[in-house]
Formats: sequence, C-alpha cells, structure tokens
Amino acid sequence: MIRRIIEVVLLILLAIGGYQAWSTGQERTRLQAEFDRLVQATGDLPIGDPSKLHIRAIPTGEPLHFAWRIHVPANYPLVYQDSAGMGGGSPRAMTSAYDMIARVRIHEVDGVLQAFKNLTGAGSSNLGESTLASLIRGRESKILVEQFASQRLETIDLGGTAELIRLTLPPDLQAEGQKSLDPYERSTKIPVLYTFRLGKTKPKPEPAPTLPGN
Amino acid sequence: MSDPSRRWQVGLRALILLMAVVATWLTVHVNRRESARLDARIQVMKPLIRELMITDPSQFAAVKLDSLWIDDNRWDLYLPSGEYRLCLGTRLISSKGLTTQAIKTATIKGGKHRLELKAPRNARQRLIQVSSDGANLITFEEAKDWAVSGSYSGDTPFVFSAQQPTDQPLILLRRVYMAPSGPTRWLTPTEPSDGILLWIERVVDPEPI
Repeated sequence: MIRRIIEVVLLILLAIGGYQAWSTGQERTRLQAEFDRLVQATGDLPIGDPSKLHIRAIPTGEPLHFAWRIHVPANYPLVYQDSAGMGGGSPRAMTSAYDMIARVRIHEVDGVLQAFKNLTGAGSSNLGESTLASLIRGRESKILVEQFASQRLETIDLGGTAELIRLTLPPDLQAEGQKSLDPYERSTKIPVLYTFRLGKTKPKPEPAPTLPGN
Repeated sequence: MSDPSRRWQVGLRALILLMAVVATWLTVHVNRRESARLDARIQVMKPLIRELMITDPSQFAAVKLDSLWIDDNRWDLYLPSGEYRLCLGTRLISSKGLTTQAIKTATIKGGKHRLELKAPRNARQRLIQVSSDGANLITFEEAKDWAVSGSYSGDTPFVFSAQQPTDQPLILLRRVYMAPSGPTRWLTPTEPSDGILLWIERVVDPEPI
C-alpha cells in the first residue's frame, strides 16, 4: 500500500515537473532568441571584473562610422579627447554602473568634414574644410582603420586610457593631400587623419623652474 | 512476522520514477536560473537599441532614435488606428505644457512611422522641415527676428520607448531659444518665447448636428 502511495506521489510530482520543465523551457527559448537578437545590435558584453571598464566594438555597416558597447563601472569617471582638440565626457563618476553605446562618425556637413561623437552626450568637431572633405569624399573605405576592441572584449583599469579609433590616410591619399591641403591640415591630418582616445591624455611635462639669477 | 530490513525497500518502478522526478525538477531549476540570467542581460541591452515597444496598442508609442549626427531628431512612432494631426509651433513656446498654437499642421494616419525633424543648424538658418517615412509633411521658414541667439535649451523626451494615452498631445520635441538679458548675456526666457514644439494630437470627429 505504501509503495503504491509513493508511486502515485512520484507520478504526480513527475507530471507537475514535466509541465514546469516544458513551460520554463519555452520561456528560456523565448528569452534566448530575444537575447541573440539584441546581441546582434549591441554586442555581447559579459562582465568579468566589475571594477573595470568593459568595451567591445559593434559593426555599423557604414565606413567611418564606429560604435562600441561600453560597460562603465560605478565611480568610474569617463572622459575622452580627440585629435581635433575636443574633449568631453563625465569627469564626475556615476555612483552606479551603466552600459551605453558610444559612437564616432566622420561625415561631411555643408562641405565641412566633421567628427561626431556620442558618448555621455553628443558633440561634434570640425576636422577640416572643403579641401579635406573633397580629398576623402567617395574614398572613405580606403582609409586605414584601427578600431579598439574590434576582435575581442577589452577591459580598461580605472585611470587607464585606450585609443578607440585611429584613422590613417593610405599612401595615395597622403600624396594627394600633400599637394591639395593647406600647411596646417598637412601637418595635422597627414598621415593620421583622426584619433579618438578614452581617458585623459598624459599631461605635458612641466618646464623645469628657472632659478633666479639663471 | 515482518522482516524489518525489508520495510524501506522500494521497487524498481518507484526508483525509475524518482530518477525521472529528480531529472525533471533539475531541468526546471536550470531553466529558471538561465532565464533569470538572460532576462537580467536583456534588461541591460534593451534600452541601448532605442527600439519601439508597444504593449498597449490603444496608446501612442514613441522612441527617439540614437543620434548619428548633431541635432539628429528622428523618432519611431506608433499611432493607434485613426487620424492624427502633426503640429509645429515656433512662437510662444514655454518650458512646459502646450502654450502655443500650431503654425503648420499635416495629417498623419495611424500605424508605425519614422518621423524626422530637420531644425536650423545655426542662427542664420530658419527653415524647419518635418518628414514621415521619407515624405515631407511640413516645411516652414521663420522670419528673421525669430530665434536670433541660435542657442537653446529643451527636453529630449522618449529617449527610452514609452507609451501614453491618445487623449493627450504626444510632444516629441520642445526647444526654447535663449533670449538676450543684457548686452552680452543670453538666458533661457521664463516667459513663452521663440522655439520649436513638435507634437501629434488626435483628430476628433465633430459632433453630428
């Protein structure tokens, strides 16, 4: 009799468990499909050490348009600086961790080549006037791109820096630019057209104090 | 007399059942743990992609798309079935509420739309254009005395997808241009002033006579 009761109880548990396994399996499959879809758009960013900045490039399908998924830990001041002299970000760290998509996009606006950045806020800096814009126009895909975290997930310690993007003109565009650009643009855009760096750049060494009488 | 050593013996059928029960409930446990892990990561990712989410089809839904250039004003919208009025105001804009009359309107039908507003990029430009799904709906050029500062403050609603009832105007963009408050100072005016207000309101059928 007891055996029969045990078997009946086990059968009931099996029936309930079977239904639960089916319904939780359905939910898990649905969430996995949603997760996979979102990973296509934002990249997968598993967090290892929560005290470090985690970063992974996301493909955009557009030349000179770069994006990264970034996990910013709590109390991590995020600042940036680009080669066009524009800096920004959130020097005051947020008290809680957050994720974001950062973008850098080089594009032409009214004949002027601009570097658009969107991290903690959007900003834009002029890269060059019409001669530089016409040098690049239609040849965006020829520019040599070095994008940080494009191959794998990267981490940055608090206070560390990383060059997210470096755009270099190929030799033929360098030669053409030497003829067409003005001296200032030649010195600042050849061979490296643009860089964008996370974290503060190292301060220039202070000149040695001059002693009175020297 | 019964043998005490045989009292707790179970049959083969019960043993197989027990193993099946353990396996099934272990599967339930693993599924729940994995679902919780996936859900936590989905909740982090969802706001990043600025995707329109509609949970109540009787309400407006809107999300502002990620900026790809300076002053990139594009939205994905859902309007429940019916007819709506897309409205543009440029004067008497205040930092809250609807204090202005539409200076230009266009009709827009229910459904999903991608809306874009092209605003003047500097103080010399005064042309405002609003398009839906690539088709121009509103073009309006302001007078020379409008928004002379070129600098503005304003709201960016719908950074995350949100819904609201259709009996209230769906305000997509609010911008108030700064006004001179001295020879060299510009401040956001406290009174309704020059700006840009873009909203959508339901076209209410007139009462039958």
